[in-house]
Amino acid sequence: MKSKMLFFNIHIVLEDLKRYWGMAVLYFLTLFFSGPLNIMSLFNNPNESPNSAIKNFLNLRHADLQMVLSIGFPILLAVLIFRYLHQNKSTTVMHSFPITRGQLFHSHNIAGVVLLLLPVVLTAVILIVLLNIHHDGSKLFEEIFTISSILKWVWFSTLTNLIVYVISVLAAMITGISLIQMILSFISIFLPIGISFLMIHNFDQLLYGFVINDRLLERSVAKIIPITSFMCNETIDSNFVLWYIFLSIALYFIAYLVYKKRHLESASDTIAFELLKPIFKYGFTFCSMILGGAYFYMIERIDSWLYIGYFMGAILGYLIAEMIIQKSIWIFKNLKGFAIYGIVILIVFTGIKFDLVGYEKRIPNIADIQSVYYGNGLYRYWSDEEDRDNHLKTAENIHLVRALHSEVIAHKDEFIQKRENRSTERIGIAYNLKNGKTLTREYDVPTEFVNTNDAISKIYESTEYKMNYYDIFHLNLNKVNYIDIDPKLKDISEPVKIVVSDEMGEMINAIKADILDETYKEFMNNKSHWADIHIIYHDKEKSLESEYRNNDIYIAWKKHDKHLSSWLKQNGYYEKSRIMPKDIDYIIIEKTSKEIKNSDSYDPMELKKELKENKNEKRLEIKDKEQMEEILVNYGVDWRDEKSYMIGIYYTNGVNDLVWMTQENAPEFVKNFFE
Amino acid sequence: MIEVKKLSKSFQKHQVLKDVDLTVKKGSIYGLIGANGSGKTTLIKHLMGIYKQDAGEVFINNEKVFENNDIKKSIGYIPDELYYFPMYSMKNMASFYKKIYPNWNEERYINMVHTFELDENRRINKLSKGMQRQVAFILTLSTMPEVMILDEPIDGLDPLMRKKVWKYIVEDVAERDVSVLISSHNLKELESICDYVGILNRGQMLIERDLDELKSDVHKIQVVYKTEIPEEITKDVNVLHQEKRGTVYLFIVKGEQKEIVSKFNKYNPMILDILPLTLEEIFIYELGGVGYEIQNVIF
Repeated sequence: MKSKMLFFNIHIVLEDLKRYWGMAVLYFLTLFFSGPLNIMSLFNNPNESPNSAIKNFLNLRHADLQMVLSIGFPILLAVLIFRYLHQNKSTTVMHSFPITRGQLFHSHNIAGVVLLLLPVVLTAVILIVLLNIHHDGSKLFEEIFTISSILKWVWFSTLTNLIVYVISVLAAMITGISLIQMILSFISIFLPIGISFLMIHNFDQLLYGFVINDRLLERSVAKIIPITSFMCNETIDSNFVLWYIFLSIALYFIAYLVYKKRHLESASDTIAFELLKPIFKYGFTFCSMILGGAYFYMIERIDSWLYIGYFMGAILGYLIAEMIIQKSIWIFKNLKGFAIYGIVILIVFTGIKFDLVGYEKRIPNIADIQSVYYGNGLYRYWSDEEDRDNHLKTAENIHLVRALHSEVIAHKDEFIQKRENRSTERIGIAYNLKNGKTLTREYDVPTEFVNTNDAISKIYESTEYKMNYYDIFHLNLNKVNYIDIDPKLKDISEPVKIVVSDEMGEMINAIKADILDETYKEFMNNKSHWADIHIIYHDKEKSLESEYRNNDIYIAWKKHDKHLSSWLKQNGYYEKSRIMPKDIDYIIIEKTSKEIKNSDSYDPMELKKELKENKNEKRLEIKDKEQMEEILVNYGVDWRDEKSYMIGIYYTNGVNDLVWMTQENAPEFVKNFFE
Repeated sequence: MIEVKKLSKSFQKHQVLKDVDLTVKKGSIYGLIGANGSGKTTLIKHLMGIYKQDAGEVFINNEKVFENNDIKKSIGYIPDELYYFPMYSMKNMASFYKKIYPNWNEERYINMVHTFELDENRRINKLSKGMQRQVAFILTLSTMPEVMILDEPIDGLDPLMRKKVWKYIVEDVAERDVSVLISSHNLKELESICDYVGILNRGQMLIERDLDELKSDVHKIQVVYKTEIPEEITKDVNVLHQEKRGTVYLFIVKGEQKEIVSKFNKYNPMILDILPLTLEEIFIYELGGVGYEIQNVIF
């Protein structure tokens, strides 16, 4: 007579619960101490508010301890429950019982899921009790501490725990060693994000113009696994919730099939399936290779180091993988596989290097382009903090961006060579195509190319670009609260504050006019600004959630801003808004030594001291107010550019400043003096 | 009843079992003998449906064993390496067995605990190795199995305990017609209780025999003749082995006892004795002639 077959065996479930309940208790206690207990004590303390504690506990992104638990506890639980598969003795005995593998699998997992769920549910129950006791109708109980937020916490915690658990169960089926199970589970959780991270950073080195888009990583790849998703994102949208449910069911089913296929003699084997051994081996080798490449390239940004890194990483990874699989360190006779791997990789790399798919040379046809983007990198292109569209649509600009792009491609070899010892700028180019696709590229090009390029200057000088680029064109005048003008040397004077609304409007119009008039050459000159203009406005429509949003605009008053300068003069703000020769006691100028010119690491304090005390060098001391004005108009701030003259400005109030000036910007009398 | 047909199994590239056939009849005790590493435990794990064979079939009571709960409920198995749930006492283990095996006999269990004088409440893992073996016997026999598969069961038991254990097993065979398969690397140990013996060598079944038949088929005969031994004798009877010590000849002869004795008597021996043969000797002589190094196999 066939006995009735259930898909699980209740006795196994009960035995598991009996054996591992201690684990769940530990998990519960940690949750309890970090959450309910902490919140309880804050409720009872009149001096402190429990708001942020509750908020942080219920939002996984801010609950670091819960993250650690959500990785650690499920993995450990799966390791303990399926430990019997990894020891010869216990495997034999467990499978000699009149219980099928399917029944064993489901029964153990029922116990596992119960043990995962109970601590979370119990914590939630306590939280709900707390909520009911302390509910006083305040905002806290309407917005943060609600039944629905607690249930959401239960749901997301369980989802997170469940997937980590199922991953670990699958790992248990694949390997015959508990330690390897633990390592495999841990790696699998971070595999999607880790691999993509390494891949894009490697492509960045291999493909000219490749764009590293970390945001894309966070928004797509990180979301594959809930735990990494919570690390990168505030909330999870419902599509991904569906995906997680599907993922856990799929992984569970795969693990079940693997268990049925598993040869039990593989207890204590590193990898229980012959088929998976090469996958593990070459996967490991590949990961190690790209990690090696990224690491070596980071130390020394030279191509040959990249390839040395690849080789070292690959051989090391291959040997380690082989050692793990063979459980022996004597594996050196098995290098044939590495040679085959090497040849395959060589072919792939050659393909990438010779750009067989045409990645590097691809420029869309004008007819296909909807709009384009050009900028200092692609940050603003990806950024969605600006509500407005920052793409360029005029035929002229589309043409210019394409021209710039082809110019960069044509100079590829030259630019790559220069990248190592010259200062570079990042430029970002993007095309939005009519078919909805986008094409994005980023390049590091020599600074002098950016400074002098015709296409770039034409793009910059176009009204469309400026209107996109400057926030001030999108400012609603009615919402401006006040404007500060700060001449950057705080001790000289207080910032000028403009509050009259008519004046503010006029001033903003003057600034806009100056921006529209500005040439690319002026934009790129190295002269420092007269002052920082700080426009503060209010934006009540924005919700509380986004309280960190900037409600201000910074803009520079540049030396060539004629409209603004004359407006300031007319309204009597001019002299208060900038440093005037009368604020200066004297100025000392010296030729910059070669050493300082080429090095970024000089000590300004030391130089200032030298300027003041060391009178042996050939130096120009200025006390004439007109000459001072000329210096003020022309000096530059320190950047990586050429620093021809080193200038010490000594103010009347005893403060001093170290600034620089290029040969190009230097006034005649300075040039003459040093000739 | 246990039936194994053409069973083969490899661990990775290493072949452990090759075309093994084995039959244990209902109500008989079968001794599976082989040196270390000959594949006994692997064979047994197939009998229990723990390992999946590469080829061949395993039947118990005419049903396939693998993943077959109904059959497994009627098998009592003692593995070579014992395993109990950590922290469990015999009482805990028994209550687990009670739920898993429907034929559990509580009365017998209590009786056996009494006979073996074990403390039910002590953690099993704290017990000595021999006591752990006794626990295995108690639990297994209390499930009232129809088939018993015992992998080196009496290793580490003292002679007194061995006796008790054999007594239980023989009783079960006699009263309930239980089929038993016992593995050992020691032929002498099994000689007294087995009905059948199979010798496994390097994953292959060397020989499978009914012991009574075997014993009535091979004889050790000591004879002394006045004169030299007549040459015809060695041609008349099937001599497996012969030795000479002084005037005493020692023959190991295969065949019907009466017939052989009459043939020796034809030449008027001064003395003719029929000596008892140990199972070990039978195998050594029988197989030695076939060219196997049987001595290495059956220690």
